[in-house]
Amino acid sequence: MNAARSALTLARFGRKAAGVPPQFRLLRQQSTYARPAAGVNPAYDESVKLIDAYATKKRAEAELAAKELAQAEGSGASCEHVSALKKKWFDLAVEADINDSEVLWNAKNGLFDLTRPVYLHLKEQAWRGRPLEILMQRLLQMYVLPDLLDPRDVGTPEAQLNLTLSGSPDLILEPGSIISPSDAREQLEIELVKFHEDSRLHTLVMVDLDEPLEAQQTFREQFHWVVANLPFSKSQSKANTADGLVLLPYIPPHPARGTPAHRYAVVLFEQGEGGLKRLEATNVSRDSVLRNFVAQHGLRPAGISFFRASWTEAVDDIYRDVLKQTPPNYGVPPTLRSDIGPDGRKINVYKNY
Amino acid sequence: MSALGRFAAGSSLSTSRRAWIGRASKAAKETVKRTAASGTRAGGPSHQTSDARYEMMKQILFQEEARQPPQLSDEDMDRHMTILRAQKIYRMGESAKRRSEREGKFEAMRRAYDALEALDERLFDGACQKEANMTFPRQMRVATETPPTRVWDYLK
Repeated sequence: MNAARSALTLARFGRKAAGVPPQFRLLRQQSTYARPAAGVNPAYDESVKLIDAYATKKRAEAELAAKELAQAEGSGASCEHVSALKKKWFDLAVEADINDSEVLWNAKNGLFDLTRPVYLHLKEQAWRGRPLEILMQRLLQMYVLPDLLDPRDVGTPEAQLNLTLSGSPDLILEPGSIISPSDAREQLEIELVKFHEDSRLHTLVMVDLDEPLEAQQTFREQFHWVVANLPFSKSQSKANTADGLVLLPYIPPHPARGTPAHRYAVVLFEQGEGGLKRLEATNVSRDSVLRNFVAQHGLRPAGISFFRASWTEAVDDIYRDVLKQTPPNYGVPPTLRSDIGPDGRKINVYKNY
Repeated sequence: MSALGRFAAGSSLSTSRRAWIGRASKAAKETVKRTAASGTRAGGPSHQTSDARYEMMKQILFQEEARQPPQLSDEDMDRHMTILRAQKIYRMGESAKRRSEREGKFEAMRRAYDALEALDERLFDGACQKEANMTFPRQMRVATETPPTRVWDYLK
């Protein structure tokens, strides 16, 4: 029964909900919605009828709007007209289902079926409620935005970028959270939840903002991972790097010893011509600057997130195995203590002892 | 203690509390008698205030324990929220209807003015003139849900 139920959950709501056992997923008594019994409260029974009548009316209006939209798209109307009609259809479709208690229960418990407009709307509302505020606060607070990109170009991100470590697939990384570099040895799972746009091509860039540049006694950007031509749409939110063009293969975070916590930003850009332009295979240097890269390829930021990592013993292994370099040490060398003798004991200062 | 009385835990009043209530109500009665004799009370009415309802109100506000709000089960809460949503939809429909009526009337008024402007400039200017030093319009009356069947007597 459990296998059947989790298969159903997987089919309807995706990997995230089905992977975690119900008792650890969320604190709720039921695993699926149970409609309240009728005949207990007459006001409730009448309300259900009223809501159903309203939903039917809105659904009919939404169907008309969909027909109008199809007509406009077929006859080749202007972009603004088509997008206005799309918005009208979307709003009517949302309005039809937004008063349904099952939909609201599912949304409250994190079960979003993103093929339906009402769930897209509710998921966006949930994102804009708090997670987006946290993301923007952390980006600005830790200076990711002025350092990496112009905050005016980023504005308010339109899509939700979820970073997940390969070891723990159900835990979305909170922006700015500190992880151990060994957790990010394998490439991260990327999910871009788009609330409005259709299928478009995106470029994924992972940048270390704090790679030390000893010659100039400062820090510079270093590209860790660049994948172009990744398709994302309302129905496909998970990244499949096999579909894209890998311009720079993934290198795990390697914050050097003695450097402060490094910020690793992951940005998903929409490619040119409204996401339709395909990028060709080009040489991308690991020492590129993101602003120049964006300007060169005409990219537009769609989703952004970041995490931090500090040096651990495992980082030296990454330097030796992956980067084939000797692990650097920028830390302060141990001071020579003049008060301890060769036997390890304190030198006696007072001669008459 | 009197201010916190209604928030105190425990359902039965302690002996000291009961004694205090006894003294308080006795004091209140004496105050009432005195003010009745003198005719005035600081901040109070000058007539006799021996109305038992004041005492009852004071007791309910300051001495009785506050009632707990109703604890709804998940199912009942679901029903409650559904009812609220249905009420919202109903109210939205009603207000949309009233708004469309109002906008229809305004649109009719606007079309009438446009027609008059095209027809006769003198009459149009007269219609556009506003009364000077007007405090409130002569036609104003309190809005009611049920207007009278005979709205205006045209023969007067």
